[in-house]
Amino acid sequence: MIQIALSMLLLLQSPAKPTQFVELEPPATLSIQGGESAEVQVSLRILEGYHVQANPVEDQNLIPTTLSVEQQKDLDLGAPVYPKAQRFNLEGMGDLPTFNGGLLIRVPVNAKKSARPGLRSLKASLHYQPCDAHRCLAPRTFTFEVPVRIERGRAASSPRNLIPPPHREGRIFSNQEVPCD
Amino acid sequence: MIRTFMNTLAWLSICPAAISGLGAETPKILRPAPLVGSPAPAFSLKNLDGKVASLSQFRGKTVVLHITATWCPYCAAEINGLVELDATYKDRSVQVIMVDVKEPRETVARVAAQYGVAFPVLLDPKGQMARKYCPPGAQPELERDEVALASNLIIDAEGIIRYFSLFSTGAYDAKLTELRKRLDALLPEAKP
Repeated sequence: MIQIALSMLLLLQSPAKPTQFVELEPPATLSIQGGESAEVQVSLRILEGYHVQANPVEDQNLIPTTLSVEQQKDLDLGAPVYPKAQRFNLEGMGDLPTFNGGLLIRVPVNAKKSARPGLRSLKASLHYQPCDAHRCLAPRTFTFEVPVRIERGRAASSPRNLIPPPHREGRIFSNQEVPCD
Repeated sequence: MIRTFMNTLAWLSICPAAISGLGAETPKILRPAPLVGSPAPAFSLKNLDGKVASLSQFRGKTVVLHITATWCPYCAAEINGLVELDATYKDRSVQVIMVDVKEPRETVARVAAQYGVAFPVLLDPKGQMARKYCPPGAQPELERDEVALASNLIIDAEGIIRYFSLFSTGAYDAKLTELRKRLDALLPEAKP
């Protein structure tokens, strides 16, 4: 009995992960050929009742929601394009630009001509500062991966050949590259 | 014995992040909650000039304590109100103090200057002071050092907490109307 209680106590002592207020919508795999340009679409959902600061913010003291995607040698990634902000009125601060509900961030991507075919998992993170109608919470970072497949030759349908991915508790693929066929 | 242990375990389970500092502060985790009617937990923190200031040095004054962070919109919305309150009440033995949680001195100094803050601004670089002012069990899903952010407290001349507007109660009050009301009630002999 004491042993069980002590085990529970040890579990409680492990550092808690910050609670997240965004979820990743299961992403589709972007397929792109070497030399082509396309757009990675990162679709997130902000938990109901919460909002995050928009990008850009108007008050420079606030933390803009920022998507970072790790660069890959075969891909050139552009600056993320954020959606239009929604206004949240806060007495004393006025109308603040915020995001709530669905959040679609687009990242221009260009596959180099020399790119080796295969699946890449781009490491991505969203830094954001959430609030609800009554409180604001510390800035935090949500990490995830975005799958991009570099195809050999011309794609059969369109430049954006979307393949539904397997869903694994928010993480879509491992960090390892899948070898090309 | 087992019951006592299980009770302790139950308390820890409602305030899990409070024990993340076990080791350095083990005996202090069961300290009294900083609630109205309780002594305000002591703290000594550096101000923006690097000098150490302690809550105890303001004993004899009524302290208005604001726990803040520059990234926090609700906190920022109250700063103008605090600046006005400081100007109105400073001659009535009221001391406004702002404690910034886990931010660099330069950032805090820039924002304090932006708002024209004339009262002491103290730095809580590791969130230790903020954790002391986290009422046990409050918002258990959050880190203990973010629960008290945007809170306003009134600590009387004897060091007893007389008012604690924990933000999650929805008591958002940019004009600090309630805080002023409570302050006036504590300082009955003078009128602002």
